[in-house]
Amino acid sequence: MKRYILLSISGFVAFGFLIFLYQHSYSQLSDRHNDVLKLFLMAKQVEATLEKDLLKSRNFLLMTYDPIVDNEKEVELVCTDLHRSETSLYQLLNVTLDHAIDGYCSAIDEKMRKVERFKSLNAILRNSIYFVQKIAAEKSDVNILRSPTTLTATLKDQIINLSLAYALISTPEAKSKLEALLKRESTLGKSQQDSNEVAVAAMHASRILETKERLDELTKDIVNSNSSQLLEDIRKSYFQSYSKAESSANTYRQLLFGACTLFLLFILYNIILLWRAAKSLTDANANLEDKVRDRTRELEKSQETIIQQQQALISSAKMSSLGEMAGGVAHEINTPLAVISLRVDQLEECLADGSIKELDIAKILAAIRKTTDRIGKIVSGLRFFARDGKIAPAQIASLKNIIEDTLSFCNERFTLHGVQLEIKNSLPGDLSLECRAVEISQVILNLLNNSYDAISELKNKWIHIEIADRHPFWEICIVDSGHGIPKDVQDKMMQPFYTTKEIGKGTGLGLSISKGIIESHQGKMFYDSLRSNTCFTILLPKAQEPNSSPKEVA
Amino acid sequence: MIDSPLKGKKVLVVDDEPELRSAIIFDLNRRGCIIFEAENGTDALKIVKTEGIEIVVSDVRMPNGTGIELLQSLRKNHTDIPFVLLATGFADLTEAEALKMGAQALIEKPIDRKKMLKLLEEQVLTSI
Repeated sequence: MKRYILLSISGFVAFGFLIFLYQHSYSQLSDRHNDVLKLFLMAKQVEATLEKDLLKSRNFLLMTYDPIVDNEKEVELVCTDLHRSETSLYQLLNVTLDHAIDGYCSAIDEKMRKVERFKSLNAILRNSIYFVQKIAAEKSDVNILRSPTTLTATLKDQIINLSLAYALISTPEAKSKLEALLKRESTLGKSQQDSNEVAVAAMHASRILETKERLDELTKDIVNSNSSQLLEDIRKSYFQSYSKAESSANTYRQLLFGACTLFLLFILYNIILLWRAAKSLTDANANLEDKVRDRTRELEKSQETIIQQQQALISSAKMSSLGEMAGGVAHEINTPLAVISLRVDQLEECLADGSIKELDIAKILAAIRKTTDRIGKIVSGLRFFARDGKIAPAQIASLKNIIEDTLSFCNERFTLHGVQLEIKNSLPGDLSLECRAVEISQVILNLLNNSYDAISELKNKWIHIEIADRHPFWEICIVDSGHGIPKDVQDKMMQPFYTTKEIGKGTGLGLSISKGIIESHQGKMFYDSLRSNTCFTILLPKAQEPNSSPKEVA
Repeated sequence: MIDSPLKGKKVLVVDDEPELRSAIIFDLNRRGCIIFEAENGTDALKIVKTEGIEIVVSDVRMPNGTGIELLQSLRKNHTDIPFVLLATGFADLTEAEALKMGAQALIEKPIDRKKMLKLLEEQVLTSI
């Protein structure tokens, strides 16, 4: 999951970065492109206008600059056009300067200077024409001007007129004719004044001609200037770089598209994965629920079985301990019964044959009394077990009596097998204890039997029951000559069904039931591992708490 | 004193229960027996060896040497003196087992006195 999140985040970042790159390059490109396109458009327009204006001016100057016709207005118009062209050139220059198109800048600059010159030449031309017009006005023979070739006047006039015509028309033919006349004139000899006038007219004429030629050349120069070519070149190179930038932008776009596709695929893949996982999860959940339900049912069933088996085992354990006890009791009772039977028989016999002595009767009766007392004691011990312990409430009993009664069930067996059983009690009185005596007796008997089993093979066989007052508890320690219980057994021995005895000999329920009984009396039963001999300690409260009657032990 | 074949016979009564012992002895005394008592098999064996006992009446279950051990050690030493076992009848042994081990009889507690006395007298008579 973490991996997917990381991948998604990195994908988003890469995606964003690519978008930024693309956007950046493309916006730069389009902005610049628009500007440049505008510039080119403007430059083209400006150049075209300039060319038109220049050609117009030139044509006008060359063809229709007629001193006879009053064309002052047209001349002004040409000047305005020129001025306008110059201004737009200037603007173009500024724009190109802004865009740092250096080569083109200098071309425009050059052009401007040429236009300037054109203008100044135009001014010179105008000036000269104006001058010639003035002279012509003085002569006031406009007709001469109309037909300069019809020379009716004197040679002098002819020359003046021709020079004027030349000046006005400024054609190369007029010039060559005037030069020929001037040559002839010099051979005839003429006045200084006349020659001065002619010289001035000729000078102006030749200046006009010269200026016109120069204007023509300049126009050609300007019109044919390489600026257009340059513009085209720049345009080409610009478009090259533009297409290059565009291709890189395209690359970015493609990359972006690729990344987009990849990203989308990745997302799709993740979605599929998630969908699958969700589906399998749902399936698993459904399965799990079923499984859990089944398992729970099984568990409930097996738990029921276990409880039933446990109860069966517990009752069988109770029965087996009862059987053990019964054997002991039968033996305990049979012997005194034998004594009584013998004695009664003897008494009958003595009475029948009359050989009886009073002393004997007394002796026999004493023996019978003693023996019946003994049987009574055993039976009173049994009385506990006759009662149903389950419904019996806790009653005040004597701990001392309970222990003694319990011993009556096993004393015989223990003595028979050489086990010394001893009660170590230095406490006075009956040791009052509120309990269900049968259950306590069962616990003690169980512990004694355990001890007996444990030490029966030892050389040194003894069991001590130690009683001490640990107010508000009575402490009962059952110590035997064994040397303790291994640690691993200690941990488990209080659990139900744990046994170290041979198969068939122990149910494994003794200690756990005993512990349960003691705990139901709010007491404690534990193995005292600190003592060198095997010792089980029972702590029983002398009185039960009023509102917590002992709980039942199954 | 009652006339009986048991008169003058050395009888050993072995039982850890003094009351039972004295009850049996009471009858044997009245029949003129010479009585020896022991409270366990070990003591009894010594008495048999030293006193020339003629009949043994023994309990089965006793601390420090049971009646069976006593019987077995006597039979091992090839002494075939009559041996009567007294059993409580609870998981001790059957009469057949007792006879197989060499006892002359097994009487179950509570003891049928007449049967016991008759048995003992029979033993004396058959051993002569």
